[in-house]
Amino acid sequence: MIRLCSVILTGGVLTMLLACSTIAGDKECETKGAMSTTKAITGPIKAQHPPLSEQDKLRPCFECHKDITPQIYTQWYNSAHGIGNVKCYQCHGTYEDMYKVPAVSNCSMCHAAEAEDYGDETPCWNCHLNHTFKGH
Amino acid sequence: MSLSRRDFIKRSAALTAASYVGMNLPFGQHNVAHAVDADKWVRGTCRLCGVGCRLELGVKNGRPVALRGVPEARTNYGYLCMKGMLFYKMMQHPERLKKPLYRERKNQPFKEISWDEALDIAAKKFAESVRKYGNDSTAYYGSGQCQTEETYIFQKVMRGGLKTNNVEGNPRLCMASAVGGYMTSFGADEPIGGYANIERSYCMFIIGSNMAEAHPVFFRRVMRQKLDNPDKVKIINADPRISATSRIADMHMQFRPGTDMALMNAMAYVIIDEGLHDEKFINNYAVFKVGKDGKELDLDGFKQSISEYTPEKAAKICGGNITPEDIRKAARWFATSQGSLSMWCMGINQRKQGVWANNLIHNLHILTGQLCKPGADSLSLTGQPNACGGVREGGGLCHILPAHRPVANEKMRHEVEDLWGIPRNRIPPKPGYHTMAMFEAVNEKKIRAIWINCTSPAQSLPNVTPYRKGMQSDDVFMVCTDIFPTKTTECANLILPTAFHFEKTGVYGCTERRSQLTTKAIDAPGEAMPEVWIVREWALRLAKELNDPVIKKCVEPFLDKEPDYELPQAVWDEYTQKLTKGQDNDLRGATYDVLKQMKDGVQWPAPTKEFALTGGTVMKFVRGSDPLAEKRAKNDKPYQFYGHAHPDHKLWVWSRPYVGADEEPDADYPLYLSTGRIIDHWHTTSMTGRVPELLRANPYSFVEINPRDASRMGIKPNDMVEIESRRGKVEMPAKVMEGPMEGMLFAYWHDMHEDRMINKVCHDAYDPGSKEPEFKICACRARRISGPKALKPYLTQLNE
Repeated sequence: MIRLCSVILTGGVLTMLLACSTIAGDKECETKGAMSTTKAITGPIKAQHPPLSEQDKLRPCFECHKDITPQIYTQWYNSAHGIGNVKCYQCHGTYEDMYKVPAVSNCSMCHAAEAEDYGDETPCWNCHLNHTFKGH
Repeated sequence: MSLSRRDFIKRSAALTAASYVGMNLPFGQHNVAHAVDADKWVRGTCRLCGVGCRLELGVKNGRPVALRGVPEARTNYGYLCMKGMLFYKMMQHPERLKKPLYRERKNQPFKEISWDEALDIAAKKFAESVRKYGNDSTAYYGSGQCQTEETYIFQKVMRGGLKTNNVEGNPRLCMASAVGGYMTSFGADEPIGGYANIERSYCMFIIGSNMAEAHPVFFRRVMRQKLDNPDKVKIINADPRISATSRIADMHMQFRPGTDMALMNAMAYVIIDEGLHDEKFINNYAVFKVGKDGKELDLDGFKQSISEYTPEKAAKICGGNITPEDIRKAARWFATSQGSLSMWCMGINQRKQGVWANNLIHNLHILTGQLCKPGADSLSLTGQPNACGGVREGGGLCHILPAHRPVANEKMRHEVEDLWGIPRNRIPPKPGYHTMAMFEAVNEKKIRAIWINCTSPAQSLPNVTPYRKGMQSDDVFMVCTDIFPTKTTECANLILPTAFHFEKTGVYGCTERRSQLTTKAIDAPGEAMPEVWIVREWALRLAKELNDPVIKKCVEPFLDKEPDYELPQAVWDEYTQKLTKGQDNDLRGATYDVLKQMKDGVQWPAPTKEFALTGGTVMKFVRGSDPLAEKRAKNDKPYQFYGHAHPDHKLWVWSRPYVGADEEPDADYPLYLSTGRIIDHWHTTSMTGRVPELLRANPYSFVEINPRDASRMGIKPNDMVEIESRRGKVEMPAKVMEGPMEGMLFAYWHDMHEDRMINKVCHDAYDPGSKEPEFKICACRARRISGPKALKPYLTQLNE
């Protein structure tokens, strides 16, 4: 079975498509998360949100992003993070300090043991597709 | 359809044009932190709900810079919610209280004074109140957010020193009915099991709890058990409102507010009618009771007493979407699963019939033997981090002395007096004012000096307006100890700045009888001090003012201890080694040294260090798990229900008839109103409102309205709606959604803006047994007052 994992980053002039594949049964890949020979984006990548008034910053992220990035919204909503109410700002920060790609250390706030096992070089989203968080 | 970036900017611009412009909340550099930069990580407990998540505070150059979960902790296994991830950001917020502040009269601005002056004033004013109006004119009102050491030392000085039982705390507003339920059904307060049952449970009955928002990390465990075993695990969610918690439910039972007692009686009816009860368990461990005098019944008598609650009749009473077949199905799932776990919170407790509603949940467990075995428990979720450990166990309510001793019990009172080394009969036998009576007594000028610690009753009491007027009066001298300005500091004469946890050392005891230590990681800002130091110094001055050496005697064991570690340790040692010895919450094994070694903490009873180091008692009353079950065994049965409230060592199944809410809708006020927490905020937002991410996620309260009601009233999403009850009115934006059932509104209560403070509307009727108010149900009316309005978040500032 071929598993395709893609991380699409759009923002400013940066548009990247990272595709990585793995063959089921590759124990080393599954256990260590080394899914690809392509170097993963490890983050963090800072972002600047398009300008918003202070009042608009008081709206929950999903209210706009439900329309603007519906696929991401749906993926998140149906994921364990969505059901468990892990919100956008917990990974991506807020307007003064926002990350398009969060630092792995951000994931480690909850997933410290896993982050320690894999280190910064193998970011979580190498195996756990971002926003659905499914993997393995 | 996705929008292009251009569309997005256009949309944003349009929103901006329609919006209010301007914010006065400081979002500065103190909010920026980078987890990887920490010099050291200091272990402690989150204080923003009752789950007791273990975490570590990252410190760099003496400043808090990050938080992370502790993966080995049996409470949260490393997971944190947004509050637990981000609370470090408010620790050094510029609006932290840093100096003692005083004003003679409440219409004057506060002025900074020294600690010496502040403590002298506090002592003089309390002494004056004692001399002029008697000891019971003084009062202490504390919090489930205080550390155990703080509650313990405050109540010791009040009872032993000032000779009054006017010792209360905000857990009266949230947990008192759970205490009443446990005492009357199981004979002892606090749950039998704990979180470890979640992963072993195959039927979870969630009633009156939106745990997905109020206890997010606990919910994660429940969610994971369901997602990992989608076919084996059944989740029943019973609530008048569909909430975030309902997403994992197999069955959502939506009943008319206040009719859950009919629902649970009907489940008991089905269990007995279909022979699903566990006769052996009942014969071994249970008796049936009815009425005020607890007259005993047999199983047939009990069956007769609930014979009117057929599923058909109960479904009619409950209304909503409930069918008789749903009730039967829920009862069967509950009775026949390998392990059934009930979980509830304020929807059950904050009720005029809160204790009875608790009893009816326990009934289901006793009837089916769903107790004391893996996955089976009747688990009341605690709202605050130390409502259990500090207030319920530490003597923080007017009727209980430390370690679950009723104050009215002469033997136990003398026991405490002897342990404290103070003369017998120093502690009065009569319980003090319970919370609602206490603030009524403030209104009636019976209380003339009150100390409010770490809580904000001027926002959090139900029907808050008249009580706030009392607090604002110059007839009562009010001290507030807190870290930020609140609606209550607005009513104070004296504000004393305190250390946040992690700026001091102390213990929190969470929902599952687990005590966990947080050690000091950084210095408190400015001159803020730990409460244990404040109380000690105040008591010494009070002793001089009243020329009463017994007051000094109350703090004598704690003299000359440095305030950051030695002092709280000495208080904890006295409490655990002396006061809990021989009691059901025996914590002698949980010394600071032991607690420091534990990644999480210790579940009581834990009489020895060796046992405490294993983590303590996972399942109370079970031989082999609970050392007291062996010690207090009366026979060779595996379970020993030794709680002191049931001398027969039995579980009591209570016949409790369905009684509705105190205030039902009528022609003038045709809707039900209920209120609750939102995930991003803690209580009154004085803390979480100062973290930008949390504030922005939910900057003000809103009201959820069922689409059919909204359509009838002409209310569209985001319209401004006025909600009015017999007590007051507020206005807030509407969210039109299939949340609350038709005929019901649901409002969030965290907002401290005068126009949106929903507790002005709530009802202050209370349970006759637990004295806990019925926050959750009242009658109201609503009307659209305008289209969408741009609102401004609001946080109280000093000297506004």
